[in-house]
Amino acid sequence: MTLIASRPEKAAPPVWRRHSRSALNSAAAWTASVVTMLAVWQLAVVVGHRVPSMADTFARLGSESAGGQLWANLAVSMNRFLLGLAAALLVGAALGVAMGLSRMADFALTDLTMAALAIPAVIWALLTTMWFGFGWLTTVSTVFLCGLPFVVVNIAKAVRAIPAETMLMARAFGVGRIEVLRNIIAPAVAGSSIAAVRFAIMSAWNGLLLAEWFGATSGVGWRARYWYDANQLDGFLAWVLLFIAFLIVANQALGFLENRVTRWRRA
Amino acid sequence: MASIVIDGLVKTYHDTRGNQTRVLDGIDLTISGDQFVSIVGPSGSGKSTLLNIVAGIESRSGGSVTLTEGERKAKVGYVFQDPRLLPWRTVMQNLGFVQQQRSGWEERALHYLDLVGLAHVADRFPSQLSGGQQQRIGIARAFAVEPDILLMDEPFSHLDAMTSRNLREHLERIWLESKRTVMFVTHDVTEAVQLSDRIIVLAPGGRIHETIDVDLPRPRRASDPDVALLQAEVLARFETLEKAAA
Repeated sequence: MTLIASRPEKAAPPVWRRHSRSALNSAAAWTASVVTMLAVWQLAVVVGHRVPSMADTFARLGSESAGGQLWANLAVSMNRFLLGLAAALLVGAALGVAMGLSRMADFALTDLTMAALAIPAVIWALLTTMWFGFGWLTTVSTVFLCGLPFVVVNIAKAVRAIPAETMLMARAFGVGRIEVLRNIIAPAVAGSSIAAVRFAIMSAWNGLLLAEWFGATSGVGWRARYWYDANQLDGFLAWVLLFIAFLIVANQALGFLENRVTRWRRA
Repeated sequence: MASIVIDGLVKTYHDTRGNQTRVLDGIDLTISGDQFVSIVGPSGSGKSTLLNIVAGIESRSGGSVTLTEGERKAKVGYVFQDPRLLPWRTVMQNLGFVQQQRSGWEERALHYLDLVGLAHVADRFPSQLSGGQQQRIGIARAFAVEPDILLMDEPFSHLDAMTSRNLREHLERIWLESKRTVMFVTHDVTEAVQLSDRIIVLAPGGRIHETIDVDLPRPRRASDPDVALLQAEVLARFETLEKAAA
């Protein structure tokens, strides 16, 4: 007779251990990403022509910070960026919901949105500089115009994807429009909204720097141009680094937010 | 006393070539008081269309539908074929949504969740529940709005036989406790006989073929001789109607 010993079932690891393992994995991925970027940079310094070293670039960033230029220009840019982006999100969400719910609005706005989507940020920056000259309106409107089409397209698509049966269920129970907006439309488009914000941020931040490059006398884009005109590549690269760092931080923050609003999918 | 008065109801669909198909053809029907009325009929007889028009989620081509509770418009609850729960809201939030957070909504929600035996899953998301549990939540949701009239569209058709039988018993128990006007669409004659006070048989083309009064004591079991006898009789009539339609 053969006896088969049953192996005791392995208990699931405790929650704290799963969380700490997940945090460790994230930290490892983050470190790998930073190390790769620095390695590519160092390689470019070694083999490339006129690529500033990491030491020179960070030293310039330090001197810009000590001289007050870093924080003053970053604050100005963030101000313009947040203002333009907030306007793009508000107007884009309203237009997107209208296009998703109404066929008439969809017909009226689809081609216009696609045309706006196809226009590169540099064209918006040049156009707004010509329209509004040097001033806050140029940069804020560039951010708005660069971000808006991404928000409209993504939100309209998400609203269209809401099952008609869900809307009919709400109607059968006589649920009011505000409650439908709060409990059906907003959560249904939340995931797509994050994607919309992500694309909008990339395009709008791009547009902001170009608008400041061409049509401003302050801000991150203007300061990068200052060093470019002075033929000081370490200064130019220091401000480009800041540009990249902002996008990485914004992307991480949005990833965290996306996890929060779509946690029901992993339930 | 709640009532549903349907007078000369007509529904016609137009296809892209302009051809007309009449799915409901002059329905006259009155349901009042705490009656449980089932609508049965072969596929294409317009059962679900009739229910959707009564619920106000589909338009009518002619005639009228009036839902009243005394002098006022009746409040309606609906149980769908699939539960149509909001996947991003917990069970409790789903019940709160249809009640639009009116005062006392939490007590009502918990009461009806308890009646369907699911008070313990109030904080779970629908994806964490089985199909049968989701449908029970759908029933609790419809009762939680404390409707004057309850509309049900083949609520057990997607479930296995055992779950379906258990849910029928749940439904009959809750209905006996809360007594509401119920309009119940089904293609299952057994279900109709077990649950109904009156069965309306629709013929293809959307006309009322016949009305059968079910005067049997409750609660009913499918194995009760009187229930089984009536089921066999209604089924025979139903099959004749289906053959004629084919």
